[in-house]
Amino acid sequence: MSAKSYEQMASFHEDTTYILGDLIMEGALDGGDHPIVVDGQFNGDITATDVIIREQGKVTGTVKAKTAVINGHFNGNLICESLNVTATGIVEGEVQANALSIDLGAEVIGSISRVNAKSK
Amino acid sequence: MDKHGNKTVIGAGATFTGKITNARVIEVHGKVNADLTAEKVTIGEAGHFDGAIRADLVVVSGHYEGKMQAGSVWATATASISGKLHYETLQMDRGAALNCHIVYNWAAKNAVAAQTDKDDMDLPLPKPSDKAKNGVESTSPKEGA
Repeated sequence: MSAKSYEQMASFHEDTTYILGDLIMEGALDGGDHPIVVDGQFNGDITATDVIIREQGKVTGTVKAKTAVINGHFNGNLICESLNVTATGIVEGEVQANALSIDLGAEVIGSISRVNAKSK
Repeated sequence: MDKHGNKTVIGAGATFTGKITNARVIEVHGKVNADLTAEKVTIGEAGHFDGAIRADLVVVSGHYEGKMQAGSVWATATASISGKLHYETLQMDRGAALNCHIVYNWAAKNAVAAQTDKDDMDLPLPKPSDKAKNGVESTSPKEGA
């Protein structure tokens, strides 16, 4: 994902789903064709076009997305077309991605493989 | 950090099923099926919320179904509410569709504090004398949820 689209996503849209603050969500979240930004805690399954886990964000479970940006903490199964783990990001578990970038300083623990069938 | 502060938003087109805890301000434009305790809840025009809400303030512009227990409820012109509504203050705009049990409950605040962990939303309703005053005896028998 380009820096520009990240900026666009970071600005407020009604279509975008934001999980912010101290809140804890458990369950299944489907963002449809819109992005999901997690800066709180989420346990469960997330499906969306773009998933951004911000620095304070913590996600445990399964994430399916076209693009995923991890600035925070992720633990579980991550299936996406392109993944960017930034310097503050921590990813534990199983990652399936076709395009992968891991910034210096990021922690990635687990297995990495390619996606066979194109997943959403 | 964010322009919109610490507000959690369920975007239009998004669907969430599960549980939300520790929420403060939350806005629903998508579909949510959850139980929720928060300070302020807004259900946007396109929003659907199914489940229990306990909050200080609830603004409903979309669809709500469930048991709501709120300090203040504002049903805007596009609101449609079904289920059960316990409130302390209620504002209803022309056009709002309320198809529900409506109970004025000044004890709500204490009840929220006392019962936050209890699944059943039914309040320990005021003493019989108070009930009689308010004419809301009928709410308890069928607690189907």
